[in-house]
Amino acid sequence: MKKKITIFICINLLNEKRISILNNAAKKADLKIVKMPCSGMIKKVFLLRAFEANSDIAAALGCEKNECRYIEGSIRAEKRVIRTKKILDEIDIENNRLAFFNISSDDNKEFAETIEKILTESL
Amino acid sequence: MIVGEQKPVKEIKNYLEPYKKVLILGCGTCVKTCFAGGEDEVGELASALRLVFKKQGKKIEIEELTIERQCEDEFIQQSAQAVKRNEAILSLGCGAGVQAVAKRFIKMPTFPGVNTTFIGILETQGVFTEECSGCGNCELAHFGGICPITRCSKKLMNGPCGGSSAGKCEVNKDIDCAWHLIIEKLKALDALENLNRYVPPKDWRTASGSGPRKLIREDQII
Repeated sequence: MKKKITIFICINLLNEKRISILNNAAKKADLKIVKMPCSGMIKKVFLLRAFEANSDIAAALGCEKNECRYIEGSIRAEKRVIRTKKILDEIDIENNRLAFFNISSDDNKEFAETIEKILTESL
Repeated sequence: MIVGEQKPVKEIKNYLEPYKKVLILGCGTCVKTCFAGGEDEVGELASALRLVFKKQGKKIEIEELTIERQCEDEFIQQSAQAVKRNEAILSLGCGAGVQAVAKRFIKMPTFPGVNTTFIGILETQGVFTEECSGCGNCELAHFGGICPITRCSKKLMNGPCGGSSAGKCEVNKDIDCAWHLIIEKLKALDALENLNRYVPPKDWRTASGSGPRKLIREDQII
């Protein structure tokens, strides 16, 4: 059975190449991509609901800290992921099923590696 | 505002164990501002509880609702229909909110989801500090707007204890010495002479020393 994975991603990280990387990834896993106007819009409840919807893995992808066009969006997103991991700890769900990644806007190789990591490795 | 923090999910889960339909009732005023019981926290807690009960194979329906204020009956009434559909209420209001809800819905088991902590302010984003003890006889006018009853660890009313260092309290270096702040503020106001006045021992009868307090405003009663 394919792994069920939910990825929340800032739309500013997407380009044609990256969309094709995600399309390829969707062949290997039951992948749900949630495009956000900024990773700072990711709420903790969205992450928890991904697990309610039976995701094996949930990941949030935000811009590099100095590249966020809303200045602090990816910082906020990372903090929310950390807080959500604490909630997962409280309810005995492995917190390594949730992860946050800062992604550079121009390094498609890094993006591909990150997606591969989400698909194949325990976070 | 009244500052509180959410109780651990496991403690809340234990309260709700006997029920199949539960209403999580948030409050959109103080506890929302301190990220303990507003709409977002209601959603997060509901989700966390669904996950934890699902994990143990228990079916539970959790309804989410946030009202403007849980400490006023007028707002509490707005939750009446939702309350009817459930077997228990988990209130994310402060202690006053929980009690007001429990009083309004006398036959509904009502549980607290928040530990009410203090009356305070948002000092900086994400940092809340205690500023007022609700003593019932405000003396801030004499102390440059800084309350020694709340903010001095020893509640001293007539000057510093002498134990502070570099403006920090000897009880805990993370606490500002209230008397250091008072003196600096009064210096800035050119009002250090305020401190020449002897402040008699605090009369705690206006605080909680005479039991639960009640404030009656005849002009508001119809």
